[in-house]
Amino acid sequence: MRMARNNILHEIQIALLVCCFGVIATSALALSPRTFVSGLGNDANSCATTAAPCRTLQRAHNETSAGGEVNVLDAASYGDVVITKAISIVNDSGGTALVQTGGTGIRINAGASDAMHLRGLTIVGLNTVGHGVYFDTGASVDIVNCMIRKVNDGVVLPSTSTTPRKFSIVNTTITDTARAIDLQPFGSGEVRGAIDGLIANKNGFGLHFGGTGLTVAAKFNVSVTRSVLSDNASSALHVFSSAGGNVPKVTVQDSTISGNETTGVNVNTAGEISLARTNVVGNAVGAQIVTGGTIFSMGDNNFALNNSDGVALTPFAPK
Amino acid sequence: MAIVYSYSFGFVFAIVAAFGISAAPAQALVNQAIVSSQGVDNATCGAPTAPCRTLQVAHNNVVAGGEVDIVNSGEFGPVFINKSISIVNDTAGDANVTQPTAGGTAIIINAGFSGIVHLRGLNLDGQNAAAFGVRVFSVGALDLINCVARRFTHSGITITPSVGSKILIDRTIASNNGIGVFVRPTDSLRVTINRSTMANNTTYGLYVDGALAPQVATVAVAVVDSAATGNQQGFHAVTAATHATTKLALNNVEASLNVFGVVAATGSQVSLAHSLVSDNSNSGARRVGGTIFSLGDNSFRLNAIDVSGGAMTPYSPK
Repeated sequence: MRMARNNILHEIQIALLVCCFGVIATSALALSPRTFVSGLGNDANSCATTAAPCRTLQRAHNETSAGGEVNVLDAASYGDVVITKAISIVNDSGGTALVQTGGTGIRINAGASDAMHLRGLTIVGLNTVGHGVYFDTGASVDIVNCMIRKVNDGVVLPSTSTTPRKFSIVNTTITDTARAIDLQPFGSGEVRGAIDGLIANKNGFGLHFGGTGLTVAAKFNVSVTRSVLSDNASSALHVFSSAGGNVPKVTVQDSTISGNETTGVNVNTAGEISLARTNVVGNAVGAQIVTGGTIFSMGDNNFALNNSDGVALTPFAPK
Repeated sequence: MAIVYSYSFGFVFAIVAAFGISAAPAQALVNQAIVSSQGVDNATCGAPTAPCRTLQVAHNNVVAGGEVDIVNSGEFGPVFINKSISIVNDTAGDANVTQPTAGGTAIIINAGFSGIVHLRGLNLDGQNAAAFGVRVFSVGALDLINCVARRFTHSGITITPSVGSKILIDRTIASNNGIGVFVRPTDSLRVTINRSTMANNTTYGLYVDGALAPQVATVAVAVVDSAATGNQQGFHAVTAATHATTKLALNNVEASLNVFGVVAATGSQVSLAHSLVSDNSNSGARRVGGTIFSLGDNSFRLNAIDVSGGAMTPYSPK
């Protein structure tokens, strides 16, 4: 009888332990839909409250559930981050949210249907090598109110994809890079992007878009509005592809392309650029076509103070 | 060139002493230093848990190419910059850099021909005593973003580099100075002025002068979505024979409430498009030996005289 009672107590003890251990195990695995980072934070914290913020973006990313958001609380340097899930990283004037890198600041290796949102971040290279935002895999990325400087490539779309990718770059400034935005997609996945309110200033190339690796059928369409692409050592906008290959199409409107040391806009071998209500001023050459490609104009662009305005543009009518 | 350098060096040396630049610190330099109005200056300050108190000490404590970030409102003091650096206020607060000394300078930049300097969110105040707000002696690349330079007796932003430079001025206000933005390089210079305001300065809103740069140099300034109002002259471009041609492209700007709105003086080339030139008490546009190219789509309203000193040269859109 005593033995049976001890067995029952023993079983109850085991049941309690399993119950408690189960609860503890669940808490250790639970991710939070919103996490926080602070210069006064600690990566041993849960990241899940403003009272327990983490210290690095990578730690906070890892503690955030898919589709969740990392919030920056104050100014600090938060380290490089590799993104492997749908996530937002947001700084809405908590202070400078600095990613200071000698490699890749933000690398996106997410799922083909994942959406990323990066807002209010400052990505600065320590030695002008590496990448700012490297969009390897994922469905879309929004880059809003960001500052990207002193890396080799500010925003890069480099790699092979058979699934569609989209991006938006809004109210962002990219300076002191070799290529502010370098899009050279490969494969068959279409690329479509909107650039609004970009300042690409003092880079080698401003926008560097190559269709050579993309299938002919895939769309490669980018719009550029209300942007200033100025004082770049090569071209503000350089579009290139292979003969008979994919034709990247870039639409520029209400923008200023100025002070560029080689060309304002340039097409090489294949590609289309259209210009409307845009200032092309103070460049070495305003518009240039090398070997093939087309530059369309709505006839209302301001070409002035260029050493040479460059090629004649192909007109298209407003509606 | 050598004479200019010697003068600058002697002047700079005096400023070094005045600003308290230390000799190379014994402590290792860090990549980033935080500055707070509750901070304490010392040779090791800068961590978020131990911020510095002044920009100068934070500047001294970071590596070349490092970053100084301000976390709250306060007075953070004048600073002498002698290396690549970023000094950033990205908060909702006021990061004040006040120079109360007569004839003084709030921020001196002598970063060298490869120097990359980035200033953001700073409020520079000369209190009608100091002479210069941001004074550029040498830099390779400079950003002034979301800054304010007011009440400096010579100029709010003084761009007089001795080496080739590229400068971005974005969302910046230069007001209530002698001159708002003063540009007179001795080498090639490209400047982009975007979404900025040069208002209520005593003489010029923007003054661009290529007369000290050699003829082969490029002196090119592009102004976009900006305004020069309430100055004696809103926009003024000038150079001298056998020196660099000054090119000033004005795109979607406002030149209003000045005595002279847009002035193209000796040897300069000014282009004017999509702009408003209004209510200038002498002339909207005036030529004094320079050329003004007009896209023909500008509004000239309420000026005493719309164009004086010779006609603008029309050109067509493309």
